Amino acid sequence: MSTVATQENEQRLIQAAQRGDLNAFNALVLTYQDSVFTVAYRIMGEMQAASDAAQEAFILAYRRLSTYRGGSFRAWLLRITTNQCYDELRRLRRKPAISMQDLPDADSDDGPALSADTDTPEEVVQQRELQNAIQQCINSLSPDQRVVLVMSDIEGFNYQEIADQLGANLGTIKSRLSRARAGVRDCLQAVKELLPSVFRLNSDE
Amino acid sequence: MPMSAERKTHDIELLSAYLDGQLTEAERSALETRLQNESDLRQQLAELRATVALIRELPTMAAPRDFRLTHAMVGTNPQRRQPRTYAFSFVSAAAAIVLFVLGFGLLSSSMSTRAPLASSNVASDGLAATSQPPQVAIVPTQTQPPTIDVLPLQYAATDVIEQEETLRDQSGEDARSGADSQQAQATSLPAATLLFEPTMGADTFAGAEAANTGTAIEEFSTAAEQADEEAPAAELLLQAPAEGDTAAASVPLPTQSEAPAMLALQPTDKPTEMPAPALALPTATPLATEMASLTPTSAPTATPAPTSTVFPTPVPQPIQVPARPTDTGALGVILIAGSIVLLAAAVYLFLRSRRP
Repeated sequence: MSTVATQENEQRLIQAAQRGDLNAFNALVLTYQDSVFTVAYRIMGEMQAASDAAQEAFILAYRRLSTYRGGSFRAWLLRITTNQCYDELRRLRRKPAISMQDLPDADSDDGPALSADTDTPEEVVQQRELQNAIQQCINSLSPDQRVVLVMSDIEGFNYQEIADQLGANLGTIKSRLSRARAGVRDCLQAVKELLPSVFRLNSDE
Repeated sequence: MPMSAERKTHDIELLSAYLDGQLTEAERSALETRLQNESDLRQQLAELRATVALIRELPTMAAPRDFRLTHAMVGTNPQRRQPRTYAFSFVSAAAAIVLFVLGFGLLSSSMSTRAPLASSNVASDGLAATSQPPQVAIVPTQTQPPTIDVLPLQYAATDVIEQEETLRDQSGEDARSGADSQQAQATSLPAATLLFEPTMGADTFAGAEAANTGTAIEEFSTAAEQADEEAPAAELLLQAPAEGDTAAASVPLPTQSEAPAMLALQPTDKPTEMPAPALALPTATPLATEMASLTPTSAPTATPAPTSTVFPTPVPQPIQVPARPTDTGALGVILIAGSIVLLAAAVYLFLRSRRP
């Protein structure tokens, strides 16, 4: 999707936003709000918290536009989002545990996922169930592991980038990531035993 | 085979890094060897790989609401003007005013410059006094073919032509008169020549009217060139007196005496618009003086006829006159156009500053 023209337009919008043009920044918000919300949701694990975190992330990004020095604007935006969610998650975790009612279940429509149009209704439901199950397993991780997992496997950062952003060393990132993945794997194994139908799709992959 | 927890954990780390290509060469080959031999390890790798794939395939979610920011959210005043753009708009407006005033001034001065030339150079003796001499210069530049056809002056072209013809006749007759009259002729001829030269005359007149500037010389040259091209006949006339003149210096003397003669030559000139006659006649004296002072400097085309030498120098001024109104006017128009552009820019910047 990133054609040269789109990138040029984006740079113009960014520069206008940096001069204080809120309308230009809002155009960027429209472009990236899905990605930002998705990252926020994967980390926060819950719709309302994710929504609040995404809004805060955009406000923060607008205020810190001067720190954008070129390069991938998406990456810059997602870094701000991730940090914001990370801080918020650790703050929330210190509070009483999140209510289980807040977590989306397979039947609710609160977790809108973009699914392929070619899937049958059953497949859509099953996909929804699977995705919810995965998210639940991610939610079961500690904030440290969760953020590293989301940054690596959802946002697409490499080990060094994650280490730089979180201010940790490479070894720490490596071990956190491996434990996070193992944790999700073990969690999904339990789900598989409980919901074999959910994994019918998975086993074909 | 029982595996310690640490071993398992370490294996998972290896496998996880292996999936991301983050193992060193040595580590990678060691692990691949183990993978060939240990089915458990292969199982672990397969499960890990499937898990990572599931996570990576999680879809992007649609934002549940519009996250666009309002001014209230970021604490800015929607009506706040961008100070820099706001300031620029005023700078632009001020520059527009300055340009407009300059342009208008130039334009109006060019208009007023033109008017008097057309009308009454002839009538005003005073005009001749200062500006006239330049005309003389124009003439000498060339052989001074009386290019009646070419009349650079926009105004009174016709009149000038007529006047020149009249003058020419008169001066021709004068030239024929005698040696004395030759001198006089020289004097009058130059004067007549001035008249004859529609091209040059026009320039001259204009130049005479207007302030004298260096550019007149250029005009003069141009006019002189034009004059050259045209009437050979005039040359004859000129040459005759030229010989008589020999020196510009002589011109002034006869001029003075000739002044009345010159005046006589062109009784009609004054009323007409022909600036040349007016210049020549009324200021016979000043003209002479100027002629004397004339030095054949600029006339590029001027054939160094003695007579002509006298004239070229002062001409610059008159030459400019014709040119000046046009140039000045054009410049004025350009400046005014520029001021309009700047004004548009000022309005644009002002509006832009309102929408941060």
